[in-house]
Amino acid sequence: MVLIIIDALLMLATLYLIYIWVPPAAILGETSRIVYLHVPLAWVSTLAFIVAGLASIQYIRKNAIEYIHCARSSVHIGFFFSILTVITGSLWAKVMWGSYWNWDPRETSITLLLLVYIAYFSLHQIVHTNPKGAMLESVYLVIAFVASPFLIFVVPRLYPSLHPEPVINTQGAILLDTEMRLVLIISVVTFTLFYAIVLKLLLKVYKLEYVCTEDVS
Amino acid sequence: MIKGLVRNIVKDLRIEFRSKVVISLILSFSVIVTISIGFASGGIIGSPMVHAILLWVIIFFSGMNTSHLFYREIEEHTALFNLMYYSPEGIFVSKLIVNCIIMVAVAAIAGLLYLFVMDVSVYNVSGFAIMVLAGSSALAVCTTIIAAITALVQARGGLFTILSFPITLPIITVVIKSTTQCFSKEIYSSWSAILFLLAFSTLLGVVSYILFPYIWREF
Repeated sequence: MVLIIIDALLMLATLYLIYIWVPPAAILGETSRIVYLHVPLAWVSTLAFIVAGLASIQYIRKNAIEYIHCARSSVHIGFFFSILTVITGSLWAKVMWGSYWNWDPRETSITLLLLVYIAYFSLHQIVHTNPKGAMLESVYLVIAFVASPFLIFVVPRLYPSLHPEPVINTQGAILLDTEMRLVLIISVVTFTLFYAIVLKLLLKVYKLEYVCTEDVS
Repeated sequence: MIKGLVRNIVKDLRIEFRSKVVISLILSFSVIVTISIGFASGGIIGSPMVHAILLWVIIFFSGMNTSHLFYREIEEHTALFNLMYYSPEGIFVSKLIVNCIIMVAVAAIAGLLYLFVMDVSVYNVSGFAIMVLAGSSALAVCTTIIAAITALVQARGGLFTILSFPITLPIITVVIKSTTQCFSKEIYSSWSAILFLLAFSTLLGVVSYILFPYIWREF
């Protein structure tokens, strides 16, 4: 409960910082404010898929049901955040590049990542009633976890990108003003905490479901 | 170990060539699709990129018919019998090699057929040959574990394509880019693409090799 209150307060503070405190970026203007939502959303979706992959590895190693619950929950959250990343990215693309969809390699790579997890949901639908299906799900999630870096980091670099250099560049540095960087970091922390809270809640739901199913059987 | 592996590979290949169901299915698919494209376009597709995309779409979907290798073991109840003689790792490696052989053959036939029917000029023949070989092998390596998963849930066909397509997209993207360059007059080196295919398929192959025993023993 304490975590939820802290995150709610942080969320309000972040919104204040994004829309009132931080100055708009030069050239990009007011539209640049979307970066403080777009980047944290993309970060959380990546983090969620990494957690899902690691939890799947643990499930394969230890065969403990809580790990597959963690993987499933994390995939759901990651998928939701990926959709939000695509939406915020498309809105920004419309303003900056004149079209919602430009087939930019980075736009495409996040969509490919969505495809991987849409495929996972198809598998989940087929095997979730099978007691041994969790192992198949875990194996697919590990394969997706291994293939994802190629989709996110390698394939987009094969083609020229429209994405701005200040945030994504070859030096791996965030080339932003101090104020902008501070707001971005606070926003990332807030959204990461939000992810942790939702993950914890979903794990509780899965645990309850599991206990109820065990009691019935 | 090696003897058992070779015996298993020969057995699988023999079954394939005796039954001929899958081979004829793959060949019919690539012939029908290539000729349909030829008819629909009137044989006039100018862009090298469109040729490269169509060619790899044909190869990919033709290859999707090779998912039966594990399915047959489940269907004919030979999976347990095989486990008595071979380790799961041995079964995986043998299926992977058979899958590679079939996939390379499919890609070679589909590639030649496409070049012939669509009258495509290849300016970099060796580069194109290497790309077909490397691309089809990489596709086979990455889809072998997916074939095992779909076989175990008894859901052949649609699910295999759905699960394989996003995972193999990096391969398809790279081979389409390189094949486009082979079809156009620009001079280029295919080494970076080959290196990428090698790295991606080796990583996925090793991970699949480690994971396979967990699912094969489990079921």
